[in-house]
Parts: sequence; C-alpha cells; structure tokens
Amino acid sequence: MHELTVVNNLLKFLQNFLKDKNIEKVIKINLRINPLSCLDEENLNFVFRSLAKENNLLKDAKISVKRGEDPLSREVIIENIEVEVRDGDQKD
Amino acid sequence: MEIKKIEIGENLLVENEKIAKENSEILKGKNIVSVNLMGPPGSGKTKILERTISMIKDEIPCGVIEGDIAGLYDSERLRPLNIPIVQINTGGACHLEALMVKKGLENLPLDEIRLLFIENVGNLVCPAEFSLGVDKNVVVVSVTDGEDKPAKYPLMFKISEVCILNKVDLLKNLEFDADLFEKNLLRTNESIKLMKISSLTGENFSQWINYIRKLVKF
Repeated sequence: MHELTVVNNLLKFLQNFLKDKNIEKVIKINLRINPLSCLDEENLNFVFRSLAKENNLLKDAKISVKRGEDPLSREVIIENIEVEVRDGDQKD
Repeated sequence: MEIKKIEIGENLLVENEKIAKENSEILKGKNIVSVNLMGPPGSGKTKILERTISMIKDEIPCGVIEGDIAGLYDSERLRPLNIPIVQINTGGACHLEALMVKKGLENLPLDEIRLLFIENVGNLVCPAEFSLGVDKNVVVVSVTDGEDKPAKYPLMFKISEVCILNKVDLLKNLEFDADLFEKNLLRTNESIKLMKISSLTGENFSQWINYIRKLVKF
C-alpha cells in the first residue's frame, strides 16, 4: 500500500544523511510508527530491498518497526540506525 | 569492524506535514472550510457529494478536489453541478498526499469558494496516514461493508470527526446489525459523530446538511 511513499522518503533521507560519513554499510533501520498504522514491516522490507538493491551502503539493511503509543500520530520516526563503521576511522 | 548506533529521531513524513500546514494556511487565508471524505470504494462518497452540493451550492459556493488512482469518472459525475472541480490522478498511489492537494488548490478559483470537499482515493487504510491540511476528516462506509469495519480499520475511524453510515435504505434486505456497528465505532472513537443516511433516497440526509451548514457558519 503506502509503504512505497515511506521507503522513498527513507531512502532520500538516508542518502543525504550518510553522505561524507565514514560508514561501511547500514545494518538496521529502527522505525517507530503509530500503533494503529497499517504500515507492515515485511512489506516495508520488501519495498526497501527492491529500491535499495543497487546501493552498497543500504542494500543489506533491515527495517525494524516498533509501535509507538500515540494512536493519532501521523509520524513515521526513524529512531536510529545501526551501522558498520569503516576501519581506521571512528569519526561520524 | 566497529558497529555503532546513530540516533536520528526524524519524522519521515515531515515533508507531507509541512505541506499540509501550508495547505491549511492557504485555505484559512481564503476563509475556506475544508472537508476530506474518505472511505472504501463504493461506499457512496461521490453520491453524497452530488446530493450535498446540489442542495447547498446556491447558499454556499462549493469546490471539489477529486482524488482517484486513474480516470475522470468522478469529476465527470459532478460536472453537471457547475462548480469548480479539480481531478487528481495519483498514478497508482493509494491515497492523496498534501502536495497533490496543494497542486489541486493552485488550480481552483479559491476566491469563489467557501466550502471545499476533497474526495480521497477509495480506500479504508492509507488515506488515514497522510495529513492534507483540512479542517474535518469524514469517513463514509455503507451498510454493505459490514459491522466490523471500525474494529478492523481503527485508524481511519480514530482520526475522523464524523462517520457517515450510508445506504441505510438497504437495511431491510441485509443482515447488517446497525447497533453492533455503532458499538464497534464508539469503541474505536468515543467522540465520533455517527450519521446514518441514504445518499440515494435522502433518508436522514438533513443531519449531514445541517452539520455542513454549521461548519460554514462558525
């Protein structure tokens, strides 16, 4: 359903966010969404895999969805990402 | 290889929220009241608009943004009403987003409109998850959809101020339990207003029209 919109925004955000950072690859993306939202974790991952397959930084990342508490929230929060940092440099 | 966690805390739909706020400001600036009609395909959203607009357009200048995946079918149905209509085709997307509505607003004569109806893509799921910047969300379901819908699709009923239960003229031929529907509805959203109407026969339609009139008056 509307997973495509969310994943498109996620990719746009991450491509920008990861620019010039010393990151080998992203392993996990932790999202928090409305408890009543119909966004589905499996579908999000399916769309993500399809759209990110050419992107070496992102193609192995898994999306994990946690349900928030506010049933009126329209937000899809990217809480944090888990990444492999490139050897020899610990900076962001 | 070091693994680390980077905190972010960004809303991925922030762009939509921003544009929704702009839409709301545009509409308020033009003193336009806006109503977003949502609901599954075939629940009678367009029929409700046809009847509503033909009843009030002489006292309240109306405009419509029609949202569909494809085609001009709904806007053609409303064309005889002789009011400004913009048809938006989402090109596959299952819902309207704020940017689509913004483009719709750019193509409407806003100075001539006092009441704007937005008919969302027929869908009980996705439209609920995207703010458009409207004043009121209304969900339309019909008696043939079943009593369980508020329990199965809670978000849509949670964010709506009014629930129209349409096609009550069919009740005599169905097993639909209107009391059970109401119970399921109020369990999902205790403050929602339920209006049981028929857009075909006009049964109890005045309740809806009075609600609309009041919105515009205040």
